[in-house]
Amino acid sequence: MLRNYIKIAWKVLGRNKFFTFVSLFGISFTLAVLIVVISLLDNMLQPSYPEPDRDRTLYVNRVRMQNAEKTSTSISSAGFYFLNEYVKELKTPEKIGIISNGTTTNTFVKNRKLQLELKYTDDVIWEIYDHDFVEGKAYNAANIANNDYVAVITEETRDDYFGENQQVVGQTIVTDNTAYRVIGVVKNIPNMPPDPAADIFVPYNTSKLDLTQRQFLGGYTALLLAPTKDQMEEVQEEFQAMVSKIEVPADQHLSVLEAWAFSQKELISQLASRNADDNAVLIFFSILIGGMLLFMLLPTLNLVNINVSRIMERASEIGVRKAFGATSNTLAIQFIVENIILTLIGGLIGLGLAFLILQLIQNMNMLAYTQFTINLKVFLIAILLCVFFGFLSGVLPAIRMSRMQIVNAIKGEIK
Amino acid sequence: MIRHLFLIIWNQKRRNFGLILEIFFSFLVLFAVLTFIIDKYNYYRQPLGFEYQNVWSIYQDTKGAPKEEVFATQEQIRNALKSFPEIIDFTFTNSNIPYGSSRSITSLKKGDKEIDADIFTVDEHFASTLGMSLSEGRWFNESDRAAGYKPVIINGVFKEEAFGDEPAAGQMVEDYNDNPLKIIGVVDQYKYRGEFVKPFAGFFQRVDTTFAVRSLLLHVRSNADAKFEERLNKRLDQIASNWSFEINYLDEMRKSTLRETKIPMLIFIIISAFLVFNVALGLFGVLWYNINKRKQEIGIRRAMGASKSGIGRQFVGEVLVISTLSLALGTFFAVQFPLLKVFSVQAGVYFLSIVVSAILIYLIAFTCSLYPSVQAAKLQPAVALHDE
Repeated sequence: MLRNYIKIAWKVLGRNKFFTFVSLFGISFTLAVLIVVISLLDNMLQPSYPEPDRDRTLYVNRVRMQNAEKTSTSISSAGFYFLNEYVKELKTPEKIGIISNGTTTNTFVKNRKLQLELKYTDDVIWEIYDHDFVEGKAYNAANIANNDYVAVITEETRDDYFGENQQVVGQTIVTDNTAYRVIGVVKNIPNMPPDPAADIFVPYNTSKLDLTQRQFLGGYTALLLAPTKDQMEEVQEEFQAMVSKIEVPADQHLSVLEAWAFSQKELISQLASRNADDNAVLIFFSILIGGMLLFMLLPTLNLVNINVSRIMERASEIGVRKAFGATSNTLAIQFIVENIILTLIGGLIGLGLAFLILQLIQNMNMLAYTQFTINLKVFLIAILLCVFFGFLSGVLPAIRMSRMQIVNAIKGEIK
Repeated sequence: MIRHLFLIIWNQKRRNFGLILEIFFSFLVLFAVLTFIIDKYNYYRQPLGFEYQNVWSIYQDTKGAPKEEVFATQEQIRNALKSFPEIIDFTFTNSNIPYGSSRSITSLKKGDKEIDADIFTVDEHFASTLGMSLSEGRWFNESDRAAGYKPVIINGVFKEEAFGDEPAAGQMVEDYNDNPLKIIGVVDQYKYRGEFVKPFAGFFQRVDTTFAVRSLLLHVRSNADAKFEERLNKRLDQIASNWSFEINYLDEMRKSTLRETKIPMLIFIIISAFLVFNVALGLFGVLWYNINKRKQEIGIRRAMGASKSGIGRQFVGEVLVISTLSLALGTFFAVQFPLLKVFSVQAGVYFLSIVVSAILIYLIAFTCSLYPSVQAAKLQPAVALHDE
């Protein structure tokens, strides 16, 4: 039976090419836009270079301090002291690494100015991240213990500073008026949130800051790697228990401390909502889904209108089928299936368009070094969207069609 | 005639309902996008109030050095900068510089009125470095150092909110601790957050010894290049080797600030253009189809003596009536925005946007109905009557 439906659908598509074009144009562009949005989001949520374990990593990048009356508030990333003294003591996480926010540093080479984003890290970060080293290796605990001024740079930094494809391990790079010995070169890093990217990474103790100060607020983030995905909540609970036990010295102006260990999903939602809201994930995803539905509204209406016109064309066919005993349900289902087939064809074109758009974004390097792939999950979501879209735009015309009176339908009139 | 058209539409209300709904939502999409664009363009047209060409910013990361040490080091920096011939003028300022990311807001009191305002902590050279001009009074100078009052300079929005059209120079306001502040000048515009951002009330106060400011703005000669920058950077490092200095160019900061508005604007325009184009195609198809279904009606009308242009006018008229109904519905929803003041957009912008959207919708509907109507008008009565 499905084969018959497909055959009929194919014939109907061929009958009025203008309508078919309009339908397919609307469907494919709509789905292309939705697929691009979903795949951008998927790219942020899924593990990707250089974070193979992003789905079991928690990020401590927000600390809030208030005074006792809660009239004065300060929110920022975490202080090194807080991460090093307290967060590093957590037992559940498999690994705990510390990385600073990027700071822009000036460097001058051959009478040209280069601005390099520099991040201070500990050695564990290199075990949590899995960079592709083109040359050399990362610095380790021994380098940090020796207070070595060593640096890991990206390919782009190497090309800009030393020249393309040079062997640079062992050479010196000067930035922010400090000289570092290059110890490793990694492939360029995408700067999608949570932003693991920088142009140059150096050990945390080469910072000019006094890291022993009792600072809870500062410019650092800790990455907590949970042993498994299921243990992420356990890590979060231990983290909160640890935070609640910290006693901030009373002489500090802001003495009420709150801190969070966010999963990647929570982190992205926080970026969008900008306040430490417990329901941020829910709010973010409802806005996202609501926005997508709103965007689909007009194309759906358009398709409904076209479909209502198109079934008039087939009034006599419907009349004959009814006269020979087809029930309203059979006809409605047939029409919906036909419509879903149409949206699936549109969806395939949309997938192709989305792929082209993503290639364009990638080639124009709008989001630095991000590699886009339309994976199976995005593909399945796209198919699901097509079916949903097809159903939505097919159901109303189908009901109207199936309710036609036989006499009118055979005469080709629709009231 | 028009009444007749309404009647035809009413008789076909179920068929036309879908079209009305579709045009209604297209109108809302156009309205939203146009409101956004007109609003931004209005702000863009207003003068910026300062020069960004050949201005560099230097952020001094003092790495938590105590205040006194910062002051002493900055005095050394000041003396060093004076020795560079490439630097025309420079100024020490708080970090809420033009096109920067930081903002600092406080509230001031004028009588019973409380006004939220940006607070800029700057020195005597700020206006000359940024090429700002005053519409009233004067900028800070050395005489303010010993004055018995705390001088401030307000911007145009602040003046408007606090004093309306009255001159503001010489007037007094109070800060949140009820300390009196004397207004010594007015700067009409200072859109430091960029061309597209709505001007906000703001005032300038003089740097004093209560806290150290971390930013520096330099007005350099146009021949200042990377070589000079490297020398400057080295010199700064000699003075304060523990600090970090971040040098940026205002014109590049401006570009990235403008991009933050331009890119969403472009995405909105592309997506809404697609939506409207899609709707136009659909409308065209549906109208064509509907008119083809009414050949008999056309035949009878032609046989009864209706002219070709009469037929064409009828069909175009019908579409315009459908559009009018959709627009009436759409306008009803659109006027709620200025009435309920949902966003901080001027009412005039909304109305302009409603008018422009309506014109666009009429244009689209007219264009889409033209071809099918002309086809309908061309029908020979004999052919039309023998449709079956």
